[in-house]
Amino acid sequence: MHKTLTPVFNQLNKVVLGKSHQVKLSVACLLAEGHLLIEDLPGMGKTTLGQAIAKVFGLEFQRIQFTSDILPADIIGANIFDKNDGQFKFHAGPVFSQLILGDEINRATPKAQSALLEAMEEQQVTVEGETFSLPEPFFVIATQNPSHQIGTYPLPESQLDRFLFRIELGYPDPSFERVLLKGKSGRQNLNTIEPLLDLTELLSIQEAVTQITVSEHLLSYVITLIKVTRESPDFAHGISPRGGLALIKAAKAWAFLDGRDYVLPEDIQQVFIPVVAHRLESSLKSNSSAVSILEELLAQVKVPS
Amino acid sequence: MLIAIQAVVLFPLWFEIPSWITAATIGLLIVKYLTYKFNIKLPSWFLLIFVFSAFIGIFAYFRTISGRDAGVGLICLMYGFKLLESKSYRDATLMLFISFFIMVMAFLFNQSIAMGLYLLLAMLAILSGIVALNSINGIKGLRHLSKLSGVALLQAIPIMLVLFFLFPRLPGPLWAMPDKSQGGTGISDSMSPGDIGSLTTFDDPAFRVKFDSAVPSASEMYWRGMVFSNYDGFTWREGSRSPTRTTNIPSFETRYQYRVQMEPNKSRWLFGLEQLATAPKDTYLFNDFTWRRPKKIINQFNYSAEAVVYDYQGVVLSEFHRSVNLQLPRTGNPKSREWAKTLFAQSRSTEDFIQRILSIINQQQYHYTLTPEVLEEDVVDGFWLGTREGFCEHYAGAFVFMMRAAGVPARVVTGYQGGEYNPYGDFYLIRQSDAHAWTEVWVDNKGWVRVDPTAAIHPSRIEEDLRPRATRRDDWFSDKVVGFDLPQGFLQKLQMRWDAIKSFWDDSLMSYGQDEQHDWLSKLGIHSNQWRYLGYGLVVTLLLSSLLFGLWLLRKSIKRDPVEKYYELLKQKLMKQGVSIPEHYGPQAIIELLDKRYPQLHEKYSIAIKFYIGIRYKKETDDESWFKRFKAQVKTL
Repeated sequence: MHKTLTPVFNQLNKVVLGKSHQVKLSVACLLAEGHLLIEDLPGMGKTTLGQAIAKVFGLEFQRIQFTSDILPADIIGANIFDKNDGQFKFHAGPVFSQLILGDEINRATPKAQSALLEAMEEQQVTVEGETFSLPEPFFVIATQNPSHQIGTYPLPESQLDRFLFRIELGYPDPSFERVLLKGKSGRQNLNTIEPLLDLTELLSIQEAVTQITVSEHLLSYVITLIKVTRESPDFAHGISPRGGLALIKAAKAWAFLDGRDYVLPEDIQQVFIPVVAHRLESSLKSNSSAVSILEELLAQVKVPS
Repeated sequence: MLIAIQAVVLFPLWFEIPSWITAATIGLLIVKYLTYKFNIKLPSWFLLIFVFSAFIGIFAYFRTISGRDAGVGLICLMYGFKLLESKSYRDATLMLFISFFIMVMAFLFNQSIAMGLYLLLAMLAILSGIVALNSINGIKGLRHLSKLSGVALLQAIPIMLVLFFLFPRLPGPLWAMPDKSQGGTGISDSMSPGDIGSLTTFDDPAFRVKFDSAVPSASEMYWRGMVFSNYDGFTWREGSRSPTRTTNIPSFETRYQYRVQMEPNKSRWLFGLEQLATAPKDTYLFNDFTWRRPKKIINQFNYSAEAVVYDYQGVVLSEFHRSVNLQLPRTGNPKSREWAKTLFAQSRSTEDFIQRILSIINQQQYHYTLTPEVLEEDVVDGFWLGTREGFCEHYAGAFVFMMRAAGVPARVVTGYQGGEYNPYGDFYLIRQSDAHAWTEVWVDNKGWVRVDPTAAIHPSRIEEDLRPRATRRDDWFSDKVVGFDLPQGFLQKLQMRWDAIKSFWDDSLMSYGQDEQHDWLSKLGIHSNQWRYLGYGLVVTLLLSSLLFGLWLLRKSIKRDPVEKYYELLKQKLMKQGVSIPEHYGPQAIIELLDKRYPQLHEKYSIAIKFYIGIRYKKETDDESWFKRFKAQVKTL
């Protein structure tokens, strides 16, 4: 574990109990300058995790609750007529923030979804011909309910692609659940979190992550993995080049968190499913979910010696 | 580079070609170097003039432009000119390939082991040239080059062997080298002491002898071949002789028994240790105690024989034999005749007469040399009273002449003298250079007594480099003989080894000809060595070998890199310890696995695995040294 980040993880794990792996993935996502999609049932602590991350990194935080009637202007902002000045003035929406928690993103209509997703990709928004840059860093944590729930508009693949990770939190362990039920953690602790890093530190860490070494040998492992997904009959299509890039980016952040300046095959394996699973669609022939197919696949591909 | 290669290739030839050509080729090399260094371009008409003058020069010197010496000279010059006009890649390539051909020309003059080794070196140089010429990444130093070309040379060995064994052989040498002014040591069917100006010694083996009985001393080993009793004033020839009837032979007793392995000498005579009494199977024994085969010996031939001592007590030389062995031409060499008669008159007996002549040879200025003056007329007079220098034939011829002039029956015996013991094969090797001529003189009641006048020469008057050989001879004046043999022990052993290697070189490699090829192929069940079949065989073998080589190359390209090899080895070692490693486990995962489940192995193995991680995944590590350490670590596991 990288030593400047150790207190960060301590704080986060106090708030989100028993989810150290997911916490680590979330932080890795932030360090790799990617966006995070948390998919789980309501009430699993998605929002808490998002808020905790925002606080601990000292980021400006905005929460957007997506509903079926939310409009793009509610997210981006709009030009509003100022009576005193006698002209239209741009009122920035909640998207102009360093960390945005997009809650239940799949409850919104595709139109509203795409407003956020375009902002995520381009780091800027355009309102009536005027372009506004979004702050830096710009980190989106979106949560979504499992798509089989009523009243959801599933995100199209092209937009899912924009999230670096998709993670599931899952139910907590019984032991942690006991602590939780006693009411000694969770949101109560959220208020005790203090910012441990400032903006420049975060940016320099993000820069350091990009400098992590990826050897030729590792690339051949990644290429083998990508090839296997492309050739597998269990998927409609394989990992795209963007997916491959995301894999490397994520693995670099993971290696950084492990205190190394080089990427190992193990890093790839750790981030493989969060990075890849939401980008792939299991084919009609296959009954199992993308996650279980990928797990199987990882166990089959030999790490080159 | 090309200049250096040319120098290397031409070097052995410089000693063989006329000195003006040597000078010219060296000059050309220097001119090339200068033009290269100062970037001078020579006009082509300039070169043309030189080429023509070279032709004219060769023709003027040799009176021909074909033949070995003229041809080689011309080629050497042209080779130099080619280098001079070389400027493009194509020229350089051509130069290098021509070099192979020119290099081989050295074998026309000298086929020794040293030459073979030298040409191997030259070949390496040429190959390095080719490698350097075709390398894309530039030259990485001479060591790298010679390594590459050495590997190429090694790879060519199978093809080399196939060509050596299967390439159709011509029946006999490709080019004869007739040279009148030189004689070779060895045995011929006549002896003309006067007309040989220079005697070259050939170290080819004549035959090998194994003794079944006691072994006589080397100085006693006189291997009798032919007897010359007919003299026409210039040449000694075999006289009238006939196969013996056993009744003619005086009583004898056996002294030595031996077996002879004879090299084919393309003639009919055999050699035997004196004295001869019985004949090997299918061989005639003549009444001058020589052996003769009914057919020429063209293959290696083995026979066993015995050496005896005759008892001549009371044996009388027949009138016929007496006249045969007293025969002299009616005229010629008057001084020697007179000289012999005078000396004989002063002597008390035949033996005293012999002793006196030998003393004169020993004490007066008689020299032993292989390069005596050529004598045209009155050869014996010229030698005995004039030049006083010559080799065994001169001495033997003159000695017999004077014996006969004084009325003592005598004859010339030729054969070999001595023999070199090879402890590694327990045999005596008799070489062509051991060829010798001595005499036999009839002494009443003692019979034919061997007299070796050459052995009487005082050692100080023997040409220095011939002494070791000459002093091995029968020593009539043993107290004055100085030993020149190598010190016993190491040096001698070394020499023996060298002889063994050399005899292998000569016997097995140099003499591999049509007959040997036929023998060899017969052993394989191929009974025809016709050109056509050999050609087919050659093509098939070459195709097969190139196919195999191609497959090997393919295999090699699939071959794993060393890091992978040792990492796999490491994993295998772990598995032997009972650790099961899933295929998809990376190195870090293995370390963690060991840490959790096999703590006793963790410490040992994690170091090696960390080296592996360093090589494979870390940034800009010094891979070479890391690999060495990784390898060492894996090996200690």
